[in-house]
Amino acid sequence: MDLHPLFSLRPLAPLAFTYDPANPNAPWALAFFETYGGITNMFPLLGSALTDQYNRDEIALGDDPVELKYDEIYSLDHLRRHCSIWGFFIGMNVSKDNQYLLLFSLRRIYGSAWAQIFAGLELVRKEKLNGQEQIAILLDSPGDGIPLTVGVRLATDKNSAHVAMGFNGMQCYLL
Amino acid sequence: MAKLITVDRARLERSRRKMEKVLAKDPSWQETQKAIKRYMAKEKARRDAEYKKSKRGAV
Repeated sequence: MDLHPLFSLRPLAPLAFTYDPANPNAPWALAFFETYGGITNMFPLLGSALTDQYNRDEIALGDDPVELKYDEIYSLDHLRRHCSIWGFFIGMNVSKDNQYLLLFSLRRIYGSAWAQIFAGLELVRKEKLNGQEQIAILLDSPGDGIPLTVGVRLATDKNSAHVAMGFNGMQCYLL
Repeated sequence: MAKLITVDRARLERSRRKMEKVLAKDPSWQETQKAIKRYMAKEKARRDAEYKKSKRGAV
C-alpha cells in the first residue's frame, strides 16, 4: 500500500496547505516551519554559504548552540534566542485514533552537533548528529483541529560555539 | 535508518500544559494563533470558491 504524506515541507517550500475541495472530508493539514539562528555567510569557508544552502535546499543553523545539559525553554524569547527549527501543524478531519509520523531530515555541518527534539516545549530526546540523519517522531493525534508544535534545537557537548547543523525538510504521514 | 521517537498522549498533554503556561500569555504568540486561523479560513474559502467556479465552467 502506498503511503502518501499528509504534508511535506522543505526550505524552498516552507508552507503546506493540503485541503482539496474535491475531497472535503479527507484528512488535510496546514503546516509550516520557522527557524532561528541561520547562517548567512556569503563565502563557502565552512560549507554553509547562502548559495550552497539554496542549491542544497537546506537551511544551515549554527554558532549559537545551547549546552547539551540545558533542556528547558522558559519563554518565547528564550525559544527564539538559540538555533532551532519549529514545525507547526494543524490536522483537520483527523481523530484521536490517528497518529502522526514525522520525519525530520538533519545534517551535521561542523562541530559536535546534537539535536534536542521537542514535542511542544517538552524535551523528548537528544540525538548526536553524525552526518545526514533522519529522525522519526511518532505522535498520538490530539484530535481534530488541534495545533501541534515540534522543535529541534541545536546543542553541543563541547565548550565551543563552533557548531552547525543543516535542515533539509520534514514530512508527515497520517497513520 | 531513521531513529524513532514516540510521544504518547500523556506526554503531549504535559507538553500542552507547558505551552499554555509559557507561551499563552505572550501577545505575539496569541496574535500568531489568530493569524493562522484567519489564514486557514480564508484559504479554504478561496479554494472552495475556485472549485465551485471550475465545476460550473465544466458543465
